Amino acid sequence: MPDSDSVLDRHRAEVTAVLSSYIETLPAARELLARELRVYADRDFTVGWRVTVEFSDKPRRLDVLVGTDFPFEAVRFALVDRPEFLTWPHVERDGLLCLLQNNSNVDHGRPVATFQNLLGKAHRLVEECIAGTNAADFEAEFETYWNYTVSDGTKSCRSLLTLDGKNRIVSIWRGKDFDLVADDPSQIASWLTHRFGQCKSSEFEDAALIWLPQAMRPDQYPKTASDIYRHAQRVRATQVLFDIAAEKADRISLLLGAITANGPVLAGVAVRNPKQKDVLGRNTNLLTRGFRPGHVPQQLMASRFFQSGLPVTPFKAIRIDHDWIHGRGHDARQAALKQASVAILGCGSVGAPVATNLATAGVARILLVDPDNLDGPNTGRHPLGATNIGNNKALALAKKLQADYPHLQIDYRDVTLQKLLRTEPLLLDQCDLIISATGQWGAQTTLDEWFRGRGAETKIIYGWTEPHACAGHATYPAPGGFKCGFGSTGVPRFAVTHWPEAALQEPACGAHFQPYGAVEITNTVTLVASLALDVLLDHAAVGTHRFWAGAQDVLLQSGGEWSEAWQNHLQFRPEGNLIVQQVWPKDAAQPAEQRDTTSD
Amino acid sequence: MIDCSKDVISFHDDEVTLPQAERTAMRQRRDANRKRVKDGLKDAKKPQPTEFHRQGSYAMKTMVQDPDNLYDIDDGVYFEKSVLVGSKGAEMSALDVRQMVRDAVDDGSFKRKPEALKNCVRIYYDAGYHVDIPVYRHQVKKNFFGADEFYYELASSDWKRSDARNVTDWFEKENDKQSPDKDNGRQLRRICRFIKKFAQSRPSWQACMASGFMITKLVTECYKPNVNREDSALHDTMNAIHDRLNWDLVVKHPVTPEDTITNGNDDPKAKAFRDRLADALKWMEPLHKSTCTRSEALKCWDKVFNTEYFSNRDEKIDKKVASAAVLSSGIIGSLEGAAQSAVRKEGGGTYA
Repeated sequence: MPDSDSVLDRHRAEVTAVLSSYIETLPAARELLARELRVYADRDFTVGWRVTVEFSDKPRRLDVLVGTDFPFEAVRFALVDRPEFLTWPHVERDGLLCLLQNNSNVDHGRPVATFQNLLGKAHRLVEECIAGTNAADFEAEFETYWNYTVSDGTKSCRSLLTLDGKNRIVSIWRGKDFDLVADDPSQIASWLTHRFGQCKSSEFEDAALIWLPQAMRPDQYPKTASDIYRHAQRVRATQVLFDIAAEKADRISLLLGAITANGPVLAGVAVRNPKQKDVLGRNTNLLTRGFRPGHVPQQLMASRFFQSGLPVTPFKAIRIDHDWIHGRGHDARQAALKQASVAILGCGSVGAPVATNLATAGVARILLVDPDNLDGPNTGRHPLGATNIGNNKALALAKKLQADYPHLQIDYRDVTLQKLLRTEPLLLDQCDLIISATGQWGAQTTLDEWFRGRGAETKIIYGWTEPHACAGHATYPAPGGFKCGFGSTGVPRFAVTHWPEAALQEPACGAHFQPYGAVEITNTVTLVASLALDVLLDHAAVGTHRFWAGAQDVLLQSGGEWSEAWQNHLQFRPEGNLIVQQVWPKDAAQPAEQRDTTSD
Repeated sequence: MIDCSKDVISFHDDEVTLPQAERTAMRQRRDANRKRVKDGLKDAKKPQPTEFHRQGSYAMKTMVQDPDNLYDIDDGVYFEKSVLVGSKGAEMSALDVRQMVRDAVDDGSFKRKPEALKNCVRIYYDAGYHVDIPVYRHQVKKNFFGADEFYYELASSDWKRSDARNVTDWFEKENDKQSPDKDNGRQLRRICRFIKKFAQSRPSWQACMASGFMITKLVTECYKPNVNREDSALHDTMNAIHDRLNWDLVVKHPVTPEDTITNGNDDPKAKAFRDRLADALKWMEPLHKSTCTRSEALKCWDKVFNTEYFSNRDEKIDKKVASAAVLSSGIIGSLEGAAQSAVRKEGGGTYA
């Protein structure tokens, strides 16, 4: 079997030769020497050419560069004759031009056409730079250009700040590997406790958040503390600086925010306390000069702190707030999900992945309930793995999800539903939605009856899978209406599949099980999780019942068949692989209605 | 053909042949290593060599300038066969002798230790270049007529009959015989250097290109002398080599008749060299036009050697000609227009 590297190397060499033959026909084109390629040492280019191109102001040299992934990755262009870095947008420090997006595609079978296309884009980009018509891109893509100014190794700051355009003092925690900034100390404490299990409040300091009317262009980036002061003056935010200047602070961190065409951005800047050494080499504090310690007027101290010519240190501010994590500020559902609370009863092969999906989707508060411990065979279809065998499922899953999503609130109860209703009867009342994923008739009817009796408006959805996970259900009945879809001993009035053989059993008393894995259960999990989101967002009506019919060949291989009820259904398709929505029965005598969307 | 002979000769002197400083440095490295070999063998009470001889392009003086000054030299060491015996009197194997020489040069001063490779001992320098020391033994045998015959064997995987000095001698004879001049290394040698420089002019060619030895042999076969026109000699020799390779891709060893420098009848390196010569000849076509200007001619030579040397010599560059040598926005626009479908900036709509 030919070595894959040499197959790709040969292909690259052949395609490069085609491109080379073409480029050498262009006027004044020549191949780059090895020392000229070394200018791009960090980029892994294998060969390049230089062409001279006419522009509106003067001819400029362009390097055409081929990397190790060529032709599957596009050829790159670098502008040799260019102004200082950060004078023009989309021109990197070594002259590489950003012509494409991170999801752009090229036709790797047509290297010459790709080159011609990208040469045109390169030419247009440089002309726009010369004319200055794309200068606003510095603002729209601020984060990239600001981050270029941050030195390697500078600690970044993760932000939980609410980006609401208000200038204010905020809180910052200084960690070993990163700093964390939030609107108040309790938010930081909560995040750190969730993430690491502990938090020392003594490590909090004040920081400042100042909003600029628009994102800065590189020539406006603050270089000294005085520049910060001037920015604050322009937006009338000097009071924030007055409030934050502190005699004892070694440095003060500021976040400069702005709204761009692509959403809000943050730039981090650290300002040093302007201590100096006197002629004897001792520290002398310019802040307090002329005053006893602790008696410097605040305004004077702030002006001394922020009007020094000391250089500032830029740092990266990386958003990890809820809106950014879940949808990068473009998911309109988060306004509702940020306020939502969901209880998930049963953390097995359905409930656990549903919980994980909802946490990933941004549901702010999740309560997990399950009395059982994780067994070895559970791990074949569960987000928890071998490290949690023997641990309570609810506890272990809550710990994992809380550490993974420290901005959410994840809680657990390692008890049965029945015990929970006895010991903390109001707990479930506080939830916007309850998801019953126990698959147990007793627990489900307990829940159903309990809420019917209370007349509560809490929403409940029930999710379960049929044998071998060949079909699945998610339903949103009215309170007390769950049992309308079942017989008195929990046999569904409508099942998609039918099984002539009895359920499989482990070599233990009463230990029946269903032989399906994580892949087979995925469709049922998605059904339940998507109905949960629809209910939270008021996109699903009470009485919604969705079921998924799996693939017929899988069903037959597992020893099952379609039920008679499903075969008589209006939406029936023998090959399966579809989702049907219908109305859940409202009373025991009413058959299931057949209507609405069929989807695959 | 428009006369650029002086420019071509200047290019040779400035950019092709090794500068004196480099030659001196190489000689010093060579001498230092010879001393290491002798001193190391003496200290270890091992046999002393009878002689040293430089070989390869270093000996033939066909080395060309390297932008990184990475010059690798070959300096063979020779022993009398009868002294290469082990402690118990048995003949030392080829590997034993290479290891003996390796141990002798390893005086602890090298960051990377010298190695006994298949055909030589290699000494590595931090700057990136290395010195190869092939090891030979010589002996006398009576031939069919009873006369003494000297022959040499290289310490390779086994002792193999070989003497690189024969190659050096062959080349010097050819250079003497064929060159019409007597200065500056003589023209045959200069043409070898030019064509080696051409072969090394583009990094993308290095993955598959004729070796210096193959080029040297082909030049001696196909050389077209011209004492008054260096540029014509070069052009005509390149043309002749191209035609020769079109006829036959096999290149025989110059002193070992049954041996070849190429592999098989379809050697890819010989083929690649032939194709690059074809490109060069095409780039030089404008030189033969009666309307060719000096600036155009210099640009042709720049193209051949992938350099700006020749154009930089022309102080009277015609600005109009210069601007004609750039890609105009009009051309770029029409090229892009025809290639719209090759790039989809917004991607294909698939995500994961």
